[in-house]
Amino acid sequence: MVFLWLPVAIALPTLSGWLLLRALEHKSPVLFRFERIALGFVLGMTLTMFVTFLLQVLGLILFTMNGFLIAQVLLLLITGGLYWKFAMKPTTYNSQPTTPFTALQKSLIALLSIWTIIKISAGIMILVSTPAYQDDVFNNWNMRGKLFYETKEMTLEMQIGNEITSAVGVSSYPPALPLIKTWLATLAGDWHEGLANSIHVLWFLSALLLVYELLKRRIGRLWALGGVYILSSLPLFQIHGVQPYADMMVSVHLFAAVGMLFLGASETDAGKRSAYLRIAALATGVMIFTKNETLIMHLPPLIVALFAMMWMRRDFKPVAHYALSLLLIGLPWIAYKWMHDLPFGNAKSVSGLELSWQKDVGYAIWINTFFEGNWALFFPIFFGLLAVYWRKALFTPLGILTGFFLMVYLGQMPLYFFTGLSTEVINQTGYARGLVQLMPVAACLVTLLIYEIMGTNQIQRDKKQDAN
Amino acid sequence: MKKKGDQRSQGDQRYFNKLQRYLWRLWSPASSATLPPMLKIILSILVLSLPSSAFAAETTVWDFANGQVSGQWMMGEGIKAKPNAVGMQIHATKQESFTRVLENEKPFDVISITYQTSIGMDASLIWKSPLLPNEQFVMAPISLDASSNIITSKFDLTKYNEWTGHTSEIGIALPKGADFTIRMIELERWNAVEKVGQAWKTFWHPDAFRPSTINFVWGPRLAYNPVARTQMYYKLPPSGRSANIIFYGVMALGLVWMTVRMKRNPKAVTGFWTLLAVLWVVYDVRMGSEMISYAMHDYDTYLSEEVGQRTFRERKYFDDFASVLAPILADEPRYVFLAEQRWPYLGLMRYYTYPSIPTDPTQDVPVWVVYRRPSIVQNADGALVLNGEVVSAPGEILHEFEPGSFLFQEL
Repeated sequence: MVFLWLPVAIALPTLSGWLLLRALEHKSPVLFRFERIALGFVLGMTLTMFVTFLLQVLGLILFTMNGFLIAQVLLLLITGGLYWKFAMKPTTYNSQPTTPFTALQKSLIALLSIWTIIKISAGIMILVSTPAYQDDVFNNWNMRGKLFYETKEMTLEMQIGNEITSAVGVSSYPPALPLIKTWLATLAGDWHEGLANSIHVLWFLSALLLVYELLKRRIGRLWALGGVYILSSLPLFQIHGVQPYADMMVSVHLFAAVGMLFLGASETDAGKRSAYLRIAALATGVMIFTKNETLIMHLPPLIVALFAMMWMRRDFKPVAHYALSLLLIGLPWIAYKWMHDLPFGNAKSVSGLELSWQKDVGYAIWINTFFEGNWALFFPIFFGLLAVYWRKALFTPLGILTGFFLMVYLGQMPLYFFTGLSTEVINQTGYARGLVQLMPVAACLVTLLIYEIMGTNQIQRDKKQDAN
Repeated sequence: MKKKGDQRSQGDQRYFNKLQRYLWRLWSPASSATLPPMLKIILSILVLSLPSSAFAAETTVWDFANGQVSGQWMMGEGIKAKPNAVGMQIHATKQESFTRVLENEKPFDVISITYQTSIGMDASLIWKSPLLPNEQFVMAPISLDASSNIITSKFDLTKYNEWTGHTSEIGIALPKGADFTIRMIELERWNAVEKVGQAWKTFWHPDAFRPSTINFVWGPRLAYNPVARTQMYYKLPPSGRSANIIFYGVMALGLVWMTVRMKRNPKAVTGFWTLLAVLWVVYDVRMGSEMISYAMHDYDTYLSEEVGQRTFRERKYFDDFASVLAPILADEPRYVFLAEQRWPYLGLMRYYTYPSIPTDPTQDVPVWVVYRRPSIVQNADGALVLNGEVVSAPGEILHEFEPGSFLFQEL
């Protein structure tokens, strides 16, 4: 049972993540129990690989069993120390009254849950039992995992015969995901395709759980389940949930960063707000170590959203936490890239792109967004809601989610319309995957907007009944 | 021209029987149907008013058997036609076409060609399109397969933007040297009821898992005849239209209804969102069933099959091929690798055998791995020959999966 190595592999990193989160919450444990575990796994795993990478490039360890364990124990000691110092007895609790479901609601939830479980199970079967299939699996993520497993060090060059895949290619991506696969292979003692891939579904399930918990906080269990159903039934998002690509990993990190920022912006209690923002700062830093585009496409809008929130709240304390997080995680990785001449784009350099109008991009976006199966019926509803309820979407705390989504979505359009990156849209190789990364944020936004509309509608109905 | 109107297939008959049973149940006293009488009457009138041909695929047949020549054909200069017992033997001495003028022909969607040829060929269907200036000819490439028997190939015309259902002239353009016997040409058409039925079936028709599936999925599509449905994913982009337009149409109607009603009845808002929820679930069932179909296909063709017998999607037996060779190649720092195409096999081979590296034949490496290249063979001296050129030193094949897929070691 080689898959039993999976819980072993995530145990220490998740514990480190959990301890760190609990320390960051300080006196206000704002996270729900399962949310903390999921977030602990997501952030802890990536952070562990960051530490492993750092120790290796400093020449202190190799990517061996001992090397991985040293990095994990070291991180555990650091996070344990922070926990011991900062995780105080809570003075506030995060609890909510729950309304029982009606029989009809229970039936619907049961039916849709069973259907969703069947779909995800089918996907898991494909994920863990079929050979490497997609290009980035055998040329990037899994290949680099195998490369590190064989070379035991941070190798940037991959050979094919007399050619060398140089550092300008896939080696410019952060090594977090390949290193996780290396760690799994190291534990199992051999490269096992299914085991190396199995980790991916945990990011998918974590994304669903984090979306559920965020929505539950704001609008209750029933609507939260609705939001999770929306997200889990987006066809391309679901496919990425059970395929060994990095976009789901980015997606859940991104959601942690944006979601916690949104919760911080919405929170009136100063202690809780600080706790949310410290976690958001951590997630923002860790996010940089997942994939190149986080640094260029996601970090600047997050910073803008943060400053907008701070300006509205007249509270500039979170800057220090963000700065610390970016300094500790972002800076070493950027320095490493710079020292090794690794490009900052999506495996391509973004500097020196020639500007010229790229025809067919608009049509490709139109088809991909509205007339393929990628997003079911999501985008007409999403854009329709934003168009009609733009005030609510922009000028309330929801503006964090809306602003972030629009900044990233619209921000990449000039690249597509005016540079050679247009092929990412026209060939449909990058545009939709970029959206996969944003979908938890978008699904939360849609659910919250629908809830607001339905709530307003309910109030109007009540008023009318009272008047009658 | 011989027209086989009212020709009812088995599938059409079953459909017709089903409707009859439905009608019976609708009016049976024992029926549990609680529809209002007015609705029952409307439904009954609708079913009864359909002509019997409403359930038939109508076909115009041009038969060339036993020396018949169906209608007037215009043969290009390079075309030589000779009627015989099987059909019309056609030989093209140069690239040329033969066409037939159509008069008062009902609109049709599919053209079927029944033929026999010993040499497969890339030909073209040609027709005059009323959409083009001066009704220019449109050329649509088709393949006519080699076979010792008479076979039928069906071509869906509705996938071409230039096809309107009508044409004044249609035919086939042949390459130089083409030689085949044409037995029959059929023009097939379906009525509105059948087209709706086919569109429904097409909606549920899943795509296969492809390399592009990680980037996008086509989603539900609509095609209106069985040929278009079965051939929908033969070439990409798939034929047919996105079914999303139907969903958007219903959503738009719902939105108008809600806008009109909501001032008098705020419950209309809930009604609209309920409609969206129902549409969403239908879409999810469609796309979820596609995900399940991916898994079922992989189970049937790969997971449940024996090693050596199984295939994995379009990559056939490559996974077993590479898995078997990887341990054998473990001691070789490099080996020559040749496959039917570079992508994806070069990268995949590197992934399977790393740290052993695949390289190209220009390198002086004694071990060769060849995948699905039947043109690479050993000569009498035992060397590998590619396109008549000796490319290796003499050696022996250590492991052969099938002709063209083997492990070779130079002596």
